Amino acid sequence: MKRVILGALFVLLLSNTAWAQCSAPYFVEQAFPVGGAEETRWRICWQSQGKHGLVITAAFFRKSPSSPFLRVFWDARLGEIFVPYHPGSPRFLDLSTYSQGLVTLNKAHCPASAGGTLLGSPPVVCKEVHDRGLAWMNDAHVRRGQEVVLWGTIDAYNYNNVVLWSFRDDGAVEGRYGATALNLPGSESVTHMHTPIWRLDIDLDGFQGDSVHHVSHIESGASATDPSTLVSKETGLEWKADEFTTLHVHDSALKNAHGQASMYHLMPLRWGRPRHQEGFSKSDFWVTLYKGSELWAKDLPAYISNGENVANADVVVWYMGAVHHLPRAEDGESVNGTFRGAAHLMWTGWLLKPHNLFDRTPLFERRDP
Amino acid sequence: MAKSPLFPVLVFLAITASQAVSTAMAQPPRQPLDPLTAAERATAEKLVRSDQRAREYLGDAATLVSIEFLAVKGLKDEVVRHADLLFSRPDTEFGARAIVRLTPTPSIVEFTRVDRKSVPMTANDIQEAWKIALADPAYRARLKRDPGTLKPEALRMYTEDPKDPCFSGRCFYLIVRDGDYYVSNASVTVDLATKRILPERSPK
Repeated sequence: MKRVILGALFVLLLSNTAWAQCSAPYFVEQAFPVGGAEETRWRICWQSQGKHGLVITAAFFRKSPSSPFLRVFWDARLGEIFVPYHPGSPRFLDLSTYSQGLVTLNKAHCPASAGGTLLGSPPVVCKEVHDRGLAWMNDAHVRRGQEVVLWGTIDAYNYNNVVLWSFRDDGAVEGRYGATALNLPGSESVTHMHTPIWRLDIDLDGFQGDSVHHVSHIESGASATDPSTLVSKETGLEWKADEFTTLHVHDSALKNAHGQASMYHLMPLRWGRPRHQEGFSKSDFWVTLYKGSELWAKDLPAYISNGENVANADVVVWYMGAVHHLPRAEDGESVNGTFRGAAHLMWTGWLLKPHNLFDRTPLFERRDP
Repeated sequence: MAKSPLFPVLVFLAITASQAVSTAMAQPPRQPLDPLTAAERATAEKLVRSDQRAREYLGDAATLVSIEFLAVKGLKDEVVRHADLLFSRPDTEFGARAIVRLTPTPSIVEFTRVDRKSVPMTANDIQEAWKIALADPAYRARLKRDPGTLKPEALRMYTEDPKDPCFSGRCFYLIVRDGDYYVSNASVTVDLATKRILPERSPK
């Protein structure tokens, strides 16, 4: 009896580390499926920060009610939004120089009818819980997926920079950035890029013992291989469209029930590869050794300059996406000398996909033959 | 009734739970990843401003531009609360960043110089520039409307020419928003160093 109670208290303490780290409204907990018997669950902490906007300060995932929570993020945030205009100037660092924090939202931004709940005081974050479309289908058999989404909008001069984090019922995370609002006054028709760079401190099963592999896809005649290279030193890496470049982040001890190494794959969702003259835009991925104060993407070349070991260590990965904005009539028009309209959202982002985290197909009712 | 051998443990848990409930009722719950409190902000700022090395560098005129929460990793998965502060010196071309560990004893763990382009403008800078613009009769005449409903937004302007007044990094190019559009012919460049309007120039 004594052992049972003490054991229960120990389990309670362990599970508490996954949730007792922030309080409402900064704590978001969501079990899936909504309204049904629980299969998976997320516990998330967030903060509104003046420069970085909507920051995820912790995220834990539980793959089944009987499994322990797994920390996925220690911290996830945008490390910069770089906006260079095609003539060569201006070149804005929207976060470090121009961010005025998150825009206050209202019910029109975040309607309850869309699964929305406003968070914060004043409300600056919208939480949406909703259907995410097909998770899988097999002829007549089908399962639709669900997600909990947190989004907020960084106000930077004329632009609204929408930062969105989607935590899915299958353990995947999608990070998205979108630009909207008014084109730059006086330069409404000038083409430019919005180049967000995310800082993702992925800590699986504790923050030590993580490694990153750089994985490519190589075709040779009729066959193909997917070579995987351990990233051993701090560095910047290129994304190559024809190589389907991804980063695999894994922990030295974390395995599923089959003994397979559990990991997350960082998979770009993009249309192109920006290359600006600034050093921090010369790579699409960066891998750095964790340092608490290293938060700014513009300093990435300095962060990696001493080439510290990042194998079996506490690593941080950075990812650069891009929105290539060719102004169009749909962005707005000049009415009596005043520009009226709004550029609709254009998105870029990434998918963080679990790999061998589960022991079998998630969100799947198994019927043994 | 015979007492269970677990009775002292249960009494201890009950007392602890009741104390936790009364504490929770007395003050908002504090968790390691909650935002900085007003007291933590004040402590961190005071610590930096009173630090001898920081004082020698920042002087008395430094402005606190921002203060953010920073969760630094401690032993195992422990969160160690820190504050990330950014100061600017309006009279110089640079600022400073200070990282303050808040527990158990507040201390400065990093103090670094920040170049002028990395010191962001503040909402106060924008408001000050807007006041200077509105105080200019020629600009008010050009604006042709009540400024009460208008909202200024600003770009910070830099030049590499030491002879240019904007070399100091204290020039702000204002555009003026009225609801969902920008007012035409209302942009203006203000130099906060000399507190005057400069001849019209492009942010490029």
